[in-house]
Amino acid sequence: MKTLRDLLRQKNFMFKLGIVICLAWIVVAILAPVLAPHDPNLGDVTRKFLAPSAEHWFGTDELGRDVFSRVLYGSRVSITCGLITVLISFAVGVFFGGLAGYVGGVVDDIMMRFSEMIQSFPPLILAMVIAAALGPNISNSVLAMAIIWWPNYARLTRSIVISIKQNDYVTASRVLGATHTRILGKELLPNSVGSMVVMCTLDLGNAILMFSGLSFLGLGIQPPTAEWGAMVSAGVENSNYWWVSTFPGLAIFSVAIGANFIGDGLRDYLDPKMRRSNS
Amino acid sequence: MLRYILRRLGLMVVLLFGVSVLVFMISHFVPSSPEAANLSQSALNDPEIVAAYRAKWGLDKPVWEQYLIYMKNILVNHDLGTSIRTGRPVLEELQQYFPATLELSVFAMLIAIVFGVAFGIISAIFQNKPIDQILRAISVSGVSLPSFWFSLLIMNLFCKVFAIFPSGNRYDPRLYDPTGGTGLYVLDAISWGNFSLLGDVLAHLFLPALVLGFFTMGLITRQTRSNLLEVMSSDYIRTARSKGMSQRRVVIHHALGNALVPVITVSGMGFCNLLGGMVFVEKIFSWPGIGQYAYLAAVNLDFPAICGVSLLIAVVYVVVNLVIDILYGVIDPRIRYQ
Amino acid sequence: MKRTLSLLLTAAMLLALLAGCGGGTKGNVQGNVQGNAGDGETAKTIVIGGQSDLITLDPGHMYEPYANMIAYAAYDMLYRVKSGTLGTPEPSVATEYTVDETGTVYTFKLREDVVFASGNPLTAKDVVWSVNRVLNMKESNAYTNIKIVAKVEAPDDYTVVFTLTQPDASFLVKLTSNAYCILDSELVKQHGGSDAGGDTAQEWLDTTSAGSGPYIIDSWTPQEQLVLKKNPNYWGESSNIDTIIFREMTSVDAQITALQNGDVDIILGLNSETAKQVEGMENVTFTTGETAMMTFLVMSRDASLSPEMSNPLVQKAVRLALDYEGYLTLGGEGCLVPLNFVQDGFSGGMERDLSTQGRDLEQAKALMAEAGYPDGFTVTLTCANNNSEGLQWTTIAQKVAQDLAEIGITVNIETLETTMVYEKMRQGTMPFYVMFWSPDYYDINNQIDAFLPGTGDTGTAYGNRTKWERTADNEELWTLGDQVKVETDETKRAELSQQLQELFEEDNPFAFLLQHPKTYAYRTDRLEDVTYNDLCKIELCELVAK
Repeated sequence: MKTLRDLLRQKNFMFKLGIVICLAWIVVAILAPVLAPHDPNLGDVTRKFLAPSAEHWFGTDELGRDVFSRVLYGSRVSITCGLITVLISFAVGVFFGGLAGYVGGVVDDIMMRFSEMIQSFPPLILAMVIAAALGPNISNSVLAMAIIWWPNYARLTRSIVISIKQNDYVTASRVLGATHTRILGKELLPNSVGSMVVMCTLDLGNAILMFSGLSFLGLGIQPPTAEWGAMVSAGVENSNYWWVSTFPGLAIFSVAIGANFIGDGLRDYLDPKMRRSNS
Repeated sequence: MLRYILRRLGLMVVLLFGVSVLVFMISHFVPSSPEAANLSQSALNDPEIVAAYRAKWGLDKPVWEQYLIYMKNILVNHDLGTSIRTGRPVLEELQQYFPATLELSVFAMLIAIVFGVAFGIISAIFQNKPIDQILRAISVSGVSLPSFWFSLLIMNLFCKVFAIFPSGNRYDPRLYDPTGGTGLYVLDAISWGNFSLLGDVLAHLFLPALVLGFFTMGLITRQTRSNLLEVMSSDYIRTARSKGMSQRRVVIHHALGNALVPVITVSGMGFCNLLGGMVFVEKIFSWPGIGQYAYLAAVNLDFPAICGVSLLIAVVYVVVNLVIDILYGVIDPRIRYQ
Repeated sequence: MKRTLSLLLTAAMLLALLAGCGGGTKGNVQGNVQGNAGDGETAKTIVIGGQSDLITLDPGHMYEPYANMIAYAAYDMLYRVKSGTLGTPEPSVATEYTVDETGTVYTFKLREDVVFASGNPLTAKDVVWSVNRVLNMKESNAYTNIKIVAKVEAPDDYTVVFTLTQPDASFLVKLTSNAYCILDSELVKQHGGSDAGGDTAQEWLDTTSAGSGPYIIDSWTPQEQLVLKKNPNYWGESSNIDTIIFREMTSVDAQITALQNGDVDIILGLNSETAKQVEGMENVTFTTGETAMMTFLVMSRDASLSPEMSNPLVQKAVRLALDYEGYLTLGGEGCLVPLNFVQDGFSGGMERDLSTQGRDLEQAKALMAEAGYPDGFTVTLTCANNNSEGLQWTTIAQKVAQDLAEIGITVNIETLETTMVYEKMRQGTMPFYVMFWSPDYYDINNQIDAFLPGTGDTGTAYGNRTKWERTADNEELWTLGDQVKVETDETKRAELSQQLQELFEEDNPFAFLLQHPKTYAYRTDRLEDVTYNDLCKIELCELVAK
């Protein structure tokens, strides 16, 4: 088995950078109350839109709140929501996709048509309508995202399962009289788990992006809670105060890129063929 | 194969029917009312106006009856209904906005595929060399940038600070009037031979298409690179290499075809992702397309418009996916159709 | 070969998709190559950038903030308002009017030289037809302003007599709105127009205009642009601008850059903060105009929603706890704090004196204790994803939460889509929410109707929705309101209005925060001074190009 030490001993610089970025953000999320120099929700309107300075590293926003503190606190919401969304959609998607790909036939058709139906909605509009119908708050927007997100996993799982199914060794074990569950447990799952983990990591970044997008439209989070997407949207109307939207935007970008670096690195590492070519 | 396509077309009808039911249900369970969205505050206060309004739009009937009326109109009269928000036929409005979105997304896809595949190939050939690292960093940035923030950044940089590109909209109204053609201004400009208009339209198109395509480009670069590496490490390529074929020949003649198969899937996913990013990009670049129309329809609970947009996007999605599945089969004959 | 066949099929499907969208658009292919920069030097084009959200151009249906901008350019009314004189309409198609002693019969004399853009003369029958058309479109937003009319008649070609359902001191002001636009009845009838109900002319009127104003609507692509061309048959004095283009620009940034680059000549979407970006720009100036838009908080009197918030003492405490200076800072230059429901610019409109009527936390806390909540309570503040002249409501709500925390009230903010907030407001299910108000016509009567408590159908928008009933205790308020509504002497009306506001201040379920300015900018190398009037925003026919 590959150990964690093995993984970290890789020479992949981006992977390590990704680990560092993500760990840093997790530390920030946990320690936000200790690290933040100001109360993220309390502002003084007479001190609105102050440029970055020694006192306010990232300046102040439209209500005179410290942008730096808000960016730190924002990590809590974004990271948690990203994780939960990916977990839910992963679980649902893998289950349906795997089943569809493996059983095939009518089951496959029904599953895939249903997932296509969900997928063929304009994602943001669907998320908007769902979040709006359920009432805008964090858990509902996470749910809305999971609803429109799982087909991605389902389709990917299905395609992996199908392509593995076509492989000779599965055909061979079929011929040798292996049962369905046996094939599923012994051959398919171990072969697909790697790529699924990779996909999950990569999609963590996407989930954070999408959540901030919903918040940007005013559907993710209730003010005054600090959230990056909502902070960017506050900066849209005031783009001459570049710091209001630039820093939270960079924060989203950095988390997403961190997750992507890790995902890429993991893929290179987990994929045996890739490893062979890397060595 | 032909039977497979026919079957898929049949399924497409089923899918669209499902979409119409689903969207109709969702939009009618939202605890709000179109009269609140579309009447003025004083008008809302007047029970007489509200009742007349509800009667006019059939809002006083039960949901299933509204749905039956809606479907009958589509199938019999080819009428998607009238937008509650604007009072214009939805079909006409979709025809007005769709070309703008189509033009934008086709160009975004073009940018994404051309650069994505090229970057992917270069990356794979120069694996772990500095150029590979740079291209990978770009592609990872592509999939990590929040499009609403990126649009804002690009617009401020290139339109305001450097002032090299026009900011928003599709053309300069002071100089041109490209209405009356297909609505795809690039094609129109070419067919009229009006090249200054073409230049203007392309200048307006470039930034939003770039922003929109950036995400998909990242996706494609990454997929191309890893597939290519995977294929190149497979046995038959090794055999070809050991027979003395050059790296480039191997890539072009043997590896690329197989490596591009999953890229097509990713492109399809990217295309649908594009339609989502459209809402932000169109808003920030003042692009009069489906994204903005859909957004306005959703916030104003304009049921006929929401249903119309959803059906339109569903059709696009289904067709694109069908095309991809067929291409998949064409390129990779291992996948058989029953 | 099967592979080729399927590829062909694929291509065919894609083509069908393309054709499906392109095929339907109007196909006048000849008139498209307008690649000329106007017709030489004589033709002047002015481009306006903004976000109008116009959804129709039929004056019988319009109510959007920018409706009158278009209505005033393409149509005429009997009376008009000019920039700076919103409350005092001036003769337009009518030359004079008389009103009888009951205050319900208005007789107008019409000019005899007015012609429509089509060349048809404008006569009394067009006025009667146009008014009856809207009177029979009850589902229309414009109907609110016109329902006061019981009947309208034309004794001769140049006389129109309106009979009202009740006396109304604001009738002349109402008459200046788009609901009373005079349409070319002959022309509109040919396109489905009807003055007896069942009118189907809206679709046609969305593509062109049928009026006698200085401009003709040439083309309109919703969410994209509106083109107005000079009316060659205009009966009045023409301006020197041949074409006006209103271009939809959703983002303020896009507007500012377009103004900077000279792509547009006027932009309308600024607020006090974004205006700082155009400061110092070459050949560009920005200015503010006063609007009648107010932002306020509504606190329901319905105890079942929140027993604490519905308490009149608590509501008074809230008014005392708000940091008005802070809201002025948020709103920026040109903002006012109105005392309560009558805006500055309306009969007797009063501002809040911040030195004596401003924030007083001690008194607010005392009131909270008196109400029985010395330790405060928790309440939900609902706020729509909306803004008042560029000031986001979520920003306001967060400031309110901060202010009220100081007297012990914990405010949880709930943001919803605007349409849902309207719906909940109508059902009266929110204890505490942010709202704005912009009058339908520029007269204090509109304010009284909107904010005073009433009974049955007479109490309107906010009064009744907050369960603030008309009782014996506030009877005086009501009678005073009635007096203001019919008083025609302006000095007396202003006095009564001020008494009314002072009385209102003692007990009401609102907290008025701000009256907002409109901030706009234009290019001084292309235009003479651009003035603002809140009814039609920029009065297009007053624009003069350089």
